[in-house]
Amino acid sequence: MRKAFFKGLLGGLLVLAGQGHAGEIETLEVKDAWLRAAPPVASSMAGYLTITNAGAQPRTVVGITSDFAGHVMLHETVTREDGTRAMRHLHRLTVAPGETVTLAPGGKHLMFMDLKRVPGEGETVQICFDMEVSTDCEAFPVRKAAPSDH
Amino acid sequence: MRKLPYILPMLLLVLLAGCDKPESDLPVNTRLGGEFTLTDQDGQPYTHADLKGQVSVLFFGYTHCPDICPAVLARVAQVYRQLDEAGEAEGFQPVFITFDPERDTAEHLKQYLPWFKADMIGLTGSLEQIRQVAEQYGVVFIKGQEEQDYLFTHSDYIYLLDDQARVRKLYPADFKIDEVINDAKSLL
Repeated sequence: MRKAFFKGLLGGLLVLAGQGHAGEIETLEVKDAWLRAAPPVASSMAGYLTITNAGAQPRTVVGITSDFAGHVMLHETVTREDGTRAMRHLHRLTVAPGETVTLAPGGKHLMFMDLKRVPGEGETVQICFDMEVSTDCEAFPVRKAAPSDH
Repeated sequence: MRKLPYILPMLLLVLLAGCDKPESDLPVNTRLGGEFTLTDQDGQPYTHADLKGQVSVLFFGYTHCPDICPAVLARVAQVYRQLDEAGEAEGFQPVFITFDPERDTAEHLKQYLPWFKADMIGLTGSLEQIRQVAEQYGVVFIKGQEEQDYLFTHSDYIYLLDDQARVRKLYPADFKIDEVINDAKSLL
């Protein structure tokens, strides 16, 4: 399932960049978006997705919001030389033209904190991405396990 | 017909041998493990001796961990549920040890773990007790500097223990569910 992503981005960027061409497809596309279900007493949750920049300009995510979390961060789980895993805060995420960035368990991910509620398995939640020049939202189904776990 | 008296006892021996549980070929790891005392989610003491008499999947983590730990918890729960659905979960016990006793109290673990529907035992304790058991299993954990919403840098191996609480195999956090199921079955 591949969907057009951040359609609102197109107009804004073309205007700002001033170099759009008629008929040029400038969209970010997202697939495999999902939020890992967690116990009702959980204090944080993680979200995952794959973003492809099919346009000609780099796209940068500078902020993420959702109605169920007071604070959302971009994080990356990294493996250190001694084999331990550490969390790194990414302040922004730039997707270069033609690049696909995968946010997946054990790697880059969205971290939802200060939870106002814990969305349940089977729910779909809206996650909104601030792209500097526009904000657009994507539906994230809440799943108990990664698609790869099945 | 004269060979029958010899064949029958041999046949009996073969049949009896077939009744024995096949010995697992998983090697015993003598460097990991040891005596410890922690507290389970019911507030009761839980020691190394309590691990005996069951095949355990033992793993460390903390419930405020957003990425790795929930993934491991979910995968271990899948191991349990698949064994359960096959009627083979008897004697199989997932055991979760937190290295964040400040937030993962027995009460919190009691609220958090049942959601995974894996009959999981959650263990907490004093920081000193947890450091000791972590060291016994070669687990490293380093608390982040943040005052609130702190995270840990940590190792994330999963340990399969036999019914004598001996470590028989280690797996990475993204272990193959079928592999753990098959290994556990060889010990059950």
